[in-house]
Parts: sequence; C-alpha cells; structure tokens
Amino acid sequence: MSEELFTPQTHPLIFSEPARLSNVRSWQEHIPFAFYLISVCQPRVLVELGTHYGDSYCAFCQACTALQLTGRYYAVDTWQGDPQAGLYGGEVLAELRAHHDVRYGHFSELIQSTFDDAQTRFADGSIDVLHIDGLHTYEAVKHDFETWLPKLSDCGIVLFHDTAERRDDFGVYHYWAELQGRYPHFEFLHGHGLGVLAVGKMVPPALQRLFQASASEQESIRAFFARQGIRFTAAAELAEREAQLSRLNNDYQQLTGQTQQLYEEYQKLTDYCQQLTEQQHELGEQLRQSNQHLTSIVESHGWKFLQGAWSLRRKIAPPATMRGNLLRATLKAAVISKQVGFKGVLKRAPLALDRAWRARKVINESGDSYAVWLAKHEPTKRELREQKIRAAGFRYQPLISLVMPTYNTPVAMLKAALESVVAQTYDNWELCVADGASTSPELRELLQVWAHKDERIKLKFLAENQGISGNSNDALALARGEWIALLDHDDELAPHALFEYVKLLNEDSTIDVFYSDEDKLDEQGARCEPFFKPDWSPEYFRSVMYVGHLLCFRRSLLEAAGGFEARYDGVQDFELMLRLSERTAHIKHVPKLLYHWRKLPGSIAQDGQAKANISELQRAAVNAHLARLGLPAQAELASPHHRLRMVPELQAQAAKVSIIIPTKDAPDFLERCLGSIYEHSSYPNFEVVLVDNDTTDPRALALMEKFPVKRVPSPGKFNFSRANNLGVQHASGEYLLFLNNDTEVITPDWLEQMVYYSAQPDVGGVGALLLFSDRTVQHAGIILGPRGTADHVMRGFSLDNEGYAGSLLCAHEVTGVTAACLMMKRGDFELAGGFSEHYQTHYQDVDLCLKMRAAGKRIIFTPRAQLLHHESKTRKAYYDWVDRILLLDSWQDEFERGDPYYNQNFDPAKTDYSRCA
Amino acid sequence: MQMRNVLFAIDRDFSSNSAIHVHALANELCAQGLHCVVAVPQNKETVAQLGERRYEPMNFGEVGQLRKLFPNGAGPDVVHSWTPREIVRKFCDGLQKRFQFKLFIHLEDNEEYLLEKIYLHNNVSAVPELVRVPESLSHPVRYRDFLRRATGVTVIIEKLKEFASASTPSLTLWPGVDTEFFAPREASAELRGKVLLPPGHTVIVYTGNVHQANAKEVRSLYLAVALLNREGQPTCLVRTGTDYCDFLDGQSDWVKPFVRELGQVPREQIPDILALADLFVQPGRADRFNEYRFPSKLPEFLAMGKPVILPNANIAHALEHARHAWVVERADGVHITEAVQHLRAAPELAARVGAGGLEFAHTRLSWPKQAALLRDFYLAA
Repeated sequence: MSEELFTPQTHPLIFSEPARLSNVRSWQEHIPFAFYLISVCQPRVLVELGTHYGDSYCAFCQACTALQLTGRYYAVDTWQGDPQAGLYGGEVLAELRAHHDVRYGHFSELIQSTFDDAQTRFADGSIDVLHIDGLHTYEAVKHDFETWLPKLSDCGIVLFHDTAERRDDFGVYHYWAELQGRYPHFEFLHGHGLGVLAVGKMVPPALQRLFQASASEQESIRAFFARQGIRFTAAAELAEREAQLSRLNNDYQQLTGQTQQLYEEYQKLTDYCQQLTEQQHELGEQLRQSNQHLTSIVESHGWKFLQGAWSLRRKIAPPATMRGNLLRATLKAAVISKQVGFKGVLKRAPLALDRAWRARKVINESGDSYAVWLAKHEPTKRELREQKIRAAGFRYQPLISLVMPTYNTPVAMLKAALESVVAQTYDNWELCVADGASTSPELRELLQVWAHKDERIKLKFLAENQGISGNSNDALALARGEWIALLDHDDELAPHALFEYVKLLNEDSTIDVFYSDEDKLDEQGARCEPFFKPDWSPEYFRSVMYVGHLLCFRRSLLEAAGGFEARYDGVQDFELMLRLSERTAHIKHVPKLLYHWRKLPGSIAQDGQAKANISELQRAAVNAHLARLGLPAQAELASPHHRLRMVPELQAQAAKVSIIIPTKDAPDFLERCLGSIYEHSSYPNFEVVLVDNDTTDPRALALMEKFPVKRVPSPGKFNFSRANNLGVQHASGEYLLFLNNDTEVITPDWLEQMVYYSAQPDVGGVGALLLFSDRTVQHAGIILGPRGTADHVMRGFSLDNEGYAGSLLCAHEVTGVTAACLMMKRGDFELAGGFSEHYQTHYQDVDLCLKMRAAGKRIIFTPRAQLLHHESKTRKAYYDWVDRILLLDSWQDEFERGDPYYNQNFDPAKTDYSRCA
Repeated sequence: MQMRNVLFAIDRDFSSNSAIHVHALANELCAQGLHCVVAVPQNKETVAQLGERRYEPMNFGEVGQLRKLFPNGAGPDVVHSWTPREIVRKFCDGLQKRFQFKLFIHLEDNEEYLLEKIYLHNNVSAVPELVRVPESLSHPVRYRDFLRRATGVTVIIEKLKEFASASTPSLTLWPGVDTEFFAPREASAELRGKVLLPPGHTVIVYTGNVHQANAKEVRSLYLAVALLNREGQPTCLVRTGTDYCDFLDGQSDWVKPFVRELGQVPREQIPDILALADLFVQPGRADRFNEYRFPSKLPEFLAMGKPVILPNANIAHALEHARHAWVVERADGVHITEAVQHLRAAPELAARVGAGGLEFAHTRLSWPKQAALLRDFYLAA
C-alpha cells in the first residue's frame, strides 16, 4: 500500500478514543473509519438516518469537534425503535441528549422524526455525507436512498451499514449489490459491513484513491480499519467482563460473609456444647464425691444410730401419713414458737402451708429450666475472651478493691470465691481480705498460698474476730481502690461482674453506686433462685432489703458516709446502703446476674428467717434513716420475711384532699363509692368534687344532694381527661385524688397513706391497691411492655400473696398507676398541664405518670391504701388504636428502654414476674 | 496540582436521595469548568431518571475505563466519597492503588447511630475491631481511619463535623433545590379529583419512603392526621413513596380513610403533587438520628411556598421560627396536630411562613452556590 493511496499517520484522529461507546456495539468497529471519513471529506452538511444510541453519529460529531470544522450535522430518528432494533422508550434519546447536547449542541441537531418527514428540511444538493442506518430491509433502504439522493451535493458520499448482514429480512447487501455497478464504491466487511458510495461528481481525492485501489490494497485497508475498530468492541467486552467479575466478586464477598456468620454461629454452638460437657463432667465429679461422702456417712456409727431412730419414727408416725405430717409440723412449730410464741404459730400456719405448696411447685417447674435459661443468657467463653480485649482498651480503668472479711470459712467455698475473683475479665482489681482470727489452719494456709500466687490479693490476719462489721472495716483499711465492692467469703462473682460495671462507668461517669441481679448456689453448688431486681427504688428499699449484691461504690462516698457500724451486724451492708443513698441518687442497677450467693444451713440465703434478730435490726436501721431524712413515719414489721411497712405519723395540720369523681347516672356505683368515702375515711380534711356528665337518673341526682359533694356539670360527649381537668378547676385541695365512681374504700387510712407518699417532694403520683370484687388484684401499679403498651402488674394475684419479693406487701416505685385512684400534688398536676385531652379512651393516666417521671418525679404504689374496683374481669371489646399509637408515639424512648421497675429478664408480655424465655 | 477531574462515588445507584444531590453538584461543577464522573456500585443506567447531565456515570466495576471518561484521558484529581460506608470505602481503597488523587469524604448521616440501630443491636461483639458489618454500613473502626486519611471532609449539616478530626479541613455543604422545577403553583383541580381529596379538607403532602430509620416519624404524621380528624379538623395526607417496613404494626384501619397513598411516582410529577398541600410536615425530633441529617425533602417543601412544620433539629437551627418555618420542639403526633390547628386557624400567619420558607430556599439552598463553595474547597484543601 503506497503512501499516496492511504496515509493514516496524516490522520491521527483515527487512533483517538471515542467519547461515546454505548452497550450497542454493532457500529463501534467503524468508528476509526468515521474519524477518517470526516477528516478527508470535511462535510459541510452531514445527515444520519437511524441513530439509535448514537455511537456512529457521535463519532462523526467528535471528529468534527476535534478537527475544528465548521459543518452542520443532523441525526434523524424517531427514537422509538423498529422491528429489527426492537422498540424502546424515551430514555434512549434522553440519555443520548445528556451526552450529545453539552458537547455538540452548537453545531449538531437531533431531529426526532421519520426520515420522510425530515427530508423536507434539507435543500436539494445540500448534503455532503449521508449515513443510512435505518430499517434494513431491501425496500426500506432503497426507499431511503432514492428519497434522499436528490439532497446530496456534487461531492456527496453515502454510507450504508449492515451490507454484510444476511440474516432474517436484512436486505442492504442486496441493494448494495445493485448500486455497485452505478457508483464508485468501497466496502468494509467487518462490523456487519459498511458500504461507502460516491454519488457526486466530485469525489474527495482521498476516497477516489480508495475506490481505485487494487484488490490486495483494498484487503490491506480493510484489515487496517478492522484492527483499529476491534479495539473498541474488545475494550467494551473487557469492561463487561470486568463488571461481571465484579458482580461475581460481590456475590463471593456476600457468600464469604454468610459463611463467616455461619461459622460464628457454629463456634457459639460449639462453645455451648463445651459448656454443657463441662457441666456434665462437673456434675459427674460432684456425684462421685457425693457418693463417697454418702458411703462414709452410711458406714458411720452416727448414721447407724440415726437409722435406728428413724426406723422407730417410721413405725410410730410413718411419713406421708396424717401422724407423720403432724409430727413434722409439730416439730417445726415448736422451733418457730420459740421466736414468735404459740399465737404467732397459729397466725402463720395457713401462709406457711401455702408457701410450702408454692415452693414445691416452683422447684418442680423451674428446676432444670433455669440451667437452660442461664446457658442462653450468660456470656459464652468467646464473649468472655473478647471482654478481656475490650477491657484493656477502656479509657477509664479504675482500681476496684474487693473487700472480703473471712471467718472460719469452709475451705472449698473460700477457694471457689477466690477463683471467681481471679477469673474476672476486668483485671484492675485488688482483693482485700481481713480474717477474723479463724481457727482453721487450712483456711489460713489457703489464703497465704493465693496471696503468694497473685499479688493483687492483700491479707490481714486479725488478732481476734471483730464481727462482720469490724472485720469488714479492717479489710476496707487495706483498700487503695477508687471503687469498693463487697464480696462475702463463701459467695462467688460472675466472671464478667467487674467488666460490666467498668463498661458502664466508661459510658456514664456520674454513677456513684452499683448493684446487680443475683442468684444463689445450692449446697451442691448449682445455681438457683435468681433475683431480678428493679432499678433504684428508694421507697422499696426502705421496706425490702432488695439491693443486696454485688454492691460497689465510690470509696469517696463511703468515706463521707462512714464505714460499717457494728451495731447493725447482720444487716450491716443494708444499713450502709441506706446511708449511701442519702448522699447520692446516682445509683445504677445492672440487670445481670453478677453475684452468686451461697445457701448454707443457717444462712439467710437458705432460710429468710434463719437469723431471728435481723428484722429488728432492719427496722432500727430504717427508722434511723427516716429520721435523718425527716420523713414522718415509723417502720413496722409487715411480714416475717424481713418486709417492713411505713406507718405515717399523725399530722397536726392535715392538708386538704380534693377527691374528683367523674360520673354519670349509675346510682348503685355512686352510692357505694360516696358511702364508703364518707363512712370509712379517717382522714379529717377532704372534699368530693363530682364532675357530672348529664346525669338524669333521679336516684343518682338524689345521692348528689344527700352527700356533701361539690357538683360540677360537664355536659356533652364524655372525655375522661376533660372531665378530670374540669374537676380540678373547681377543687380547692392541696392534693388531688382522681377516683372512679365504681370504687369502694376498704382501708380507713387510705388517704393518710397516700398523702404520706404524695407529700415527699420528689413523688409525682401515688396509686392504691385496687381489688376485684373477688378480692384478687385489679391494680398494683402499671408496667410498660405488656400488650405492646402498658398493663397492670400482678393482675389477678391473690391478696394473700406477698408478690415478687414483697412487691404486693410493700410500697414501691412503679412507672405508672391507674387514674381510677391516683393522688397528686396540685402543683405537680398543673405543671404537667393536667390530663392530655388528646386521649379519648385509654392511657391518659399512663401519659400523666410518664410526664411526672420525665420531670424527675417518682410514682409510688402503696398496698396500704386498698379499695374495691367493681370492674369486670373481662376486658372490654372496644379498643382505641389512636390512643394506643398516641401513647407509643409520645413515649418512644421509654418504651424502647423498657420498664425500669420490671426487670428486663422478666417476660415483657406478662405481668406476673415470670422469667423471659 | 491542577484540578480538572472529579470522581464522585456513592453507595447506591442513581435512584437514591444522595444521587440527586451528587447529580446536581456534578452538573454545576461541570458548568463551572470541571470534568465529573459519578460512580455507583451498579445500575449506572438509572442515571436516566435524573434528567439532563453533564457528567459521565460509571459502575464501580468499570474502573478500568475511568481514564476514558475524562476528556483529557487522565485519572481523577479529586475523589469525593459520598459516604464512608464500606462499599464506597473499599472502592476508594481500590482507586488509590491505581491513581493519585485528593480524597474527600462526605457525611450525611450519623453513621455510628445507624450502625448501632440497624445492625449492632443483635450483632454484639465486645471488640469493635472484630465486628463484621454489611457493605451498606460504615465499619465502627475502619470508617474513622478512612476519615483520618481524607484531605477534606464535607458534611451536610454542621453537627456532623463532630465525627471528623479537628485538623482535617471541613465544609458544610447543604443541599440545594431547583427552584424552577419546585416552585409555587396552583393546585390542579383535576389532580385533586384524581387523588379523591374532598373539599374543605386540610391537605398535607409527604413525599418519601418509609424505612426502619424513619418509621416512627412517619407514624407520628399518620397519628397527627388521625387526631386532627378526631378533633374536628378534616385532614387528608397525600403520600408518595414505598413502605419498606410495616410502620403501623399491621393495624391501619384507624387512619387509612384519611390517607391517599400514591406509591412511587415519576419525579417530574412531584411538584404538582406538592402543590396540593396546604402545608408540609417534616416529622421527627432532635435525637441521635435527626440532629445529624438534613431531611432531603425539606428544600423541596420550602420551595413550594407553603408553611413547613418541622422539629427543632438539624436545619431548623438555621431557620427562624414563624418566619421561615413553623418550628416545634418535637414534631410528634401531638405537636404536629397542635401546629396544624394553629396554622389553619391563622391563614395570614400561614401565608407569611410559606413565603418566608420560599425566600429561604431561594437565598440559602442554591445548587450553583453550593457547587462554587465545593470547588473552592477542593482547590484550597
């Protein structure tokens, strides 16, 4: 091929990259020739018939721009497709415009039209280059050529695409064959074929040479352009492959992620299996030891003697017989009568029988299921390992001094306690042990060995036993830590106990005191009887020593409050906690089982009544606490299980209470309600405001005359919130008591009890114990969670039940109480804006209580104020969904956090303190 | 270094809200003389729905072709990662092996909150480094490293600067709004008829999908509509968008009669639908999610010249209550209800607030101005 014939180096544009390569590749291999053609023809007017995605047309335009030519270019297409290319929507043109207009819009135009309609826009003899790439049937191509031929100029060139395509009804090749005899021409065979036809008299010289080339020269030219063109389709295919590869890579990554997740689950299951296996081994070992022990007992003389005695007893009073049970009960009664006298025994007998039955039931029901529950809820070995890593990265890693007084501790138990300390996933602790002159040399040796092994264990052997408080104070004297935690010598810590506390301190530095949930270790060392506690509840704590373990507090707080007081030995940690709580409200409950309390014969863990003077010490500690706080009440024993009740002192000036009762007709309810208020209430200063919603019943109207009530008319559609708000406007009392007309007062001092709690500045509302007519619990406080919103806790419980840890016997903090009987200070009510009148049917009381809590106030439930609530046990069918969503919407955070006084380990769908699944 | 080529990388395709912002900025930067490419993980063809563009779209998998997309055949001078989420972070890490460029990272959400809310609550690991997260979220540790490596950080709202290092240059880049496309107009009577809006009803329009992160907020709006009707203010809510979660807990009889759900509608129809509204509501409250975002619909609401009720969070701190918008402490069911009742009872006030919002949109939410700020930030960083 001579230089004169074809000189690509003089047309460097041929080697340029096209700016546009769509996914339709049929024309892309001809782009180098398009660049060449524009370079040698420099058309004044170029028209393309059939543009579709515009790869060919944009190549012409790109060349025009690159060569800085001054032509006018036109693309004609309906951009709706045809049967051969397929039909498509406006997105193709839109996408082309986005590319084209900004680059070539100043000299080029996209004409959305049929070819025939468009040709009228062009003068005859005006077009230098025409590219026909529309419908490719023989008839269509012939028609296009013949229609547009007059428009071509003297140097006109026509391009035909798809000249090598013979499939289906493609007929360009056929028409191209007919034209070859009439005009100078050249044909490329790659890229579906492209025919170049010179229809003008003045063929551009470069093309003239192309048309006149020999067969071999033509072959070389074809090969050259085919090689140049294939670069683009190959590149596009490569890009497509890369995209495909990327997609496959993504899929692979996803699968890898899933595999990893599955692997992690597998690891967890493996850990769990391992745990079970270890438990099995431990149980096996315990069984073996027990068997040995049993054998030694059975072979002893004492055992043989006892066998004889029991054999005799079996003959006289066989077990499970009337005589046997009588003998057993008599022996137990004799023991109890020493403490409370014969009358006390008689009084307790029914309760004791009921408790015995319940205890048996609980053991039967929970037994093994607790072990399963623990396996599900406690951290796995892997999680404990991760805790160690995380703890090392904590910003704040305070030294925690674990204080442990010892005295004649069984060596095995002390060893278990020490092991539980050393196993902590948080490292920065010290164990301060003060031994009260134990007589056991093994114990002393054990402590010394462990102190030698781990320098974090500090020992002090006291000259004499100073009692639990004295020994504890000596252990405290060893402590250097910023934080103090109390550990009894025979108990055990969970391995993550300290980690959980320090983790929280890293999130909230204001915490001063921690306590956790706890459970017990039975005589075989198995865990049992979990105690899931509420968040800090000072009122509850005054009645029930619920805080217990694992108590941990700032040393500075202890120093301010003073150490343990020996006169409270037995309840020394409870008494200390009372004093700590007088100095801080930043008391954090961690709802995790971080402490295992060992049940030993004679311990309170084993038997709540094991230590006779405990209740008296407890009462004394609480009375001292009440006096320090200036609360006008005295603590009295409420039950033998160390439960106290507060008895308000009589006040010289009783503040006025306004009892607000919305009502309509219902004379029977109204008579019972008003009658009980006026006949039973011992409180000297109250008024009753009846908010009357259009009563017409003559009996009800007569009752409103009979009793000295203030009647406030409230006509129209009844709205509970509006009625009560209206009642408040007409009330003159310092305290407001909202009451339903279907209630009936039982306890004469109900108002005294409620006023006592309401008067405390940080109490925002007080609710009463409401009973169904059959004397089962209708209301004992409201918890968030059940039924997706809120419900009455312990609903349906029997009144002789103490409730969970005394919660039905003792006043305590709750999230809300029902407005069927709710007392508030008038000032608090007004600050909260009263009852929200957006509620129509339900939840206005929960909303009001939550507003109080948001203002930092406590809500108290007291079982000492009792009323009957003559409400049906069956729930009403109507349910107001707008009120439901309104409550959930207004208190999103509270619902997300869960009820602070109903431990998260309880089933939130239930109200009976049953453990969650 | 001469700065010509800018590559934006976003974490979803062009149908996402982020893509609308990037589309507008990239177009403006091109108009201001830069060359832009916008890379998406896949489905680059979805760019067609955004209208005219001056930039080139690409899929992440086409990185081999990147040079061809810039007219000068060179690589990117600036890569703007439009989120630090894993899918984009990994893409940018890959780019750094091929090209030299300045890395900028854009923040438009509290990534840590989303991670916690969507993923970590049931994928707890005590050690953040060991957490495996899906590519659609940010990694708790790696995203912070990524931010540290950036030449500059842009944030959609000032408060997000908390997550950037103090030594890294940063720029607050509010979204803009096309005030010719979103402009006040008469409500179409024909459209009112089609949507079945009864006469005399207050109309609230809310355009947007419902997903886990905003489910409770949209529920607040539905609740307000139910409360308004219950309390004697006949009100209809016109909704567009898709529900990706059941935010009404399977029970919607209480509100369905007052809601017209139109589903996904083409973007060009949105202004006419917005024009049906008597007022707009952006539900929500100041919390760890809302304080760190700029609700994407707000500029469009403001540009329609009707009053906008919104919570005292994020952009509300820059709006004057009762002048540009009606700012409530928290836009929950009760507060929305009371605000609507108040504005409907005071039509002059409502008109004034609507006009103030429009003025704010025109003066403070301009794409060309934001693009100029961004270009200067690139050059200065």
